[in-house]
Amino acid sequence: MEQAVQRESRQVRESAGILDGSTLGKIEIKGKDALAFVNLIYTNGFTKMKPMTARYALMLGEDGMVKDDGIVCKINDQHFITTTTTGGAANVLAHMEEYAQTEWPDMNVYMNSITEQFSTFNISGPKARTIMSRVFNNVDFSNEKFPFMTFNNFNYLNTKVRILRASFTGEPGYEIYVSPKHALTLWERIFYYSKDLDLVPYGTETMHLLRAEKGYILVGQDTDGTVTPIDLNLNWMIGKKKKDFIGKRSLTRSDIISSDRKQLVGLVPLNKAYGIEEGQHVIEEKNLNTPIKRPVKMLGHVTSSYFSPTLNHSVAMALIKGGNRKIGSQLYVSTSDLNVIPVEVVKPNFIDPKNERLTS
Amino acid sequence: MMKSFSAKGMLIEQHNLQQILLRGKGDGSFAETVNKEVSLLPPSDNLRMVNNDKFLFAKQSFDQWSLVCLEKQSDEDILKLVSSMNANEEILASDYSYGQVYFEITGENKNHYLSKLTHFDLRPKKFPVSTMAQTLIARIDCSIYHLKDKYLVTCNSSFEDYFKDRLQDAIDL
Repeated sequence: MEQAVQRESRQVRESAGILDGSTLGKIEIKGKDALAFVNLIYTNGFTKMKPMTARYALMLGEDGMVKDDGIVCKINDQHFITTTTTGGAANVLAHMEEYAQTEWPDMNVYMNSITEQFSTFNISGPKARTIMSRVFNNVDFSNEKFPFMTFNNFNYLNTKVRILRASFTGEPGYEIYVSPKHALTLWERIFYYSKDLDLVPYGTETMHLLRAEKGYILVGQDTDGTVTPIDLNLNWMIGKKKKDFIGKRSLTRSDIISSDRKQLVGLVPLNKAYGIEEGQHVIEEKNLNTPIKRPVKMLGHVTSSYFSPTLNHSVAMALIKGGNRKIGSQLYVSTSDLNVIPVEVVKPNFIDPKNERLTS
Repeated sequence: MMKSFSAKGMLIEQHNLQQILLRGKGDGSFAETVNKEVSLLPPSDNLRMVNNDKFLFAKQSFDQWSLVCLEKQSDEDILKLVSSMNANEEILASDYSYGQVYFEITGENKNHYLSKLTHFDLRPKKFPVSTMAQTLIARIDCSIYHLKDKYLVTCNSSFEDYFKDRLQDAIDL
């Protein structure tokens, strides 16, 4: 499988790949108070967001810890469609229902799970736009007409498809939402029109590698219920002018904003031949005596690690104490055979930090 | 329509019915919108349903309704219907077609076989005609609609094969 993941990842970065992302949770939210509701549920601000645009959004618990993430699509102030993590779909809907019914019963807002009502294909890579233009030949996919984080509905196969320009790989990408009845036909058409474009179907393992190269978090892997948006350096996702949202009060507590908390950083092995293991400790000590006879100060742990075929070395993300201050310094990562690997602490964004590919 | 299987005194047929899930207050404006679109007045009691030749309309909870198309509509017509319902800003209508599977179960022994798979009391005095239930059959979430002489059972399509296997088990056991 490792070989397949490497091959698929390379192919997505060089040409294009398609992921069946149908399992991602999808929730439709509508009502007179939908905007106020979404503003309370997520940390981001949605008031100034234009209709038919989308925004990556974070959902917190009352404790200020990251609970889920997804993309919020605004049809208008009364109508939204959000995506959730696959595993979090049912919980997120239950969370929304609970708050709508118990905390804000006066709000006029309703939500339906539409996870099983839409199949989702994510096409990304430098050739994604060419493929989309061939399949949906009446749609203008140019940057001017179809910019990043916008969406629209189109008639296709006697039904409506919703196309969102978004990406979880760092490459130009599009998400197509279509009725499951038409999904197989659309899938086949996509491949028919991509015969000469080296399109590869890829799975979640490859998706994990691609998103880690870009430094995108995976809720539940890079977070564990004890991580705030501030720890993830996602402060920009917190609506500063918002009057309230779930978790806002907790984000003002001194312990939560302490710079000594564990923060998400990137790790790169100094010797590029070494691989970093997920779950291993990050430490300051160069040598681990075996057996270990005295306590070793653990700074944190490796949350994600992959061998990047694009960079030709391992890249990892880790949550470590005071991580932001340690960027540029050298630390060590333990190995399962009780050795250590010297690593450089870097910003967790290994490919295209200026997002030039993403928005090209 | 696809004939699934039968047993002594029971026939199960699988249908690809279309469905719209509605959320709303259930007030006068809601009833007016529904009546205008499908010529049915929404029931006021939970787990009650009304139907005509084309549609079945059931109240699943205090703010949730299910509209099942008993007659095949074109996909365009369903999308138009969803759009018309959504024109009322206090209604959320979502197209649930094809995400669900439907089994029409008829025959005098239907209760005998289904009772092997559910704790729900299917006896007519507890589950009269024109009512519905949201319950578990073979441990999966299902809705059962009790029409005049048949049940319409629906579950998420991801459970389709599993559900068929359990129905077969109920017949074989």
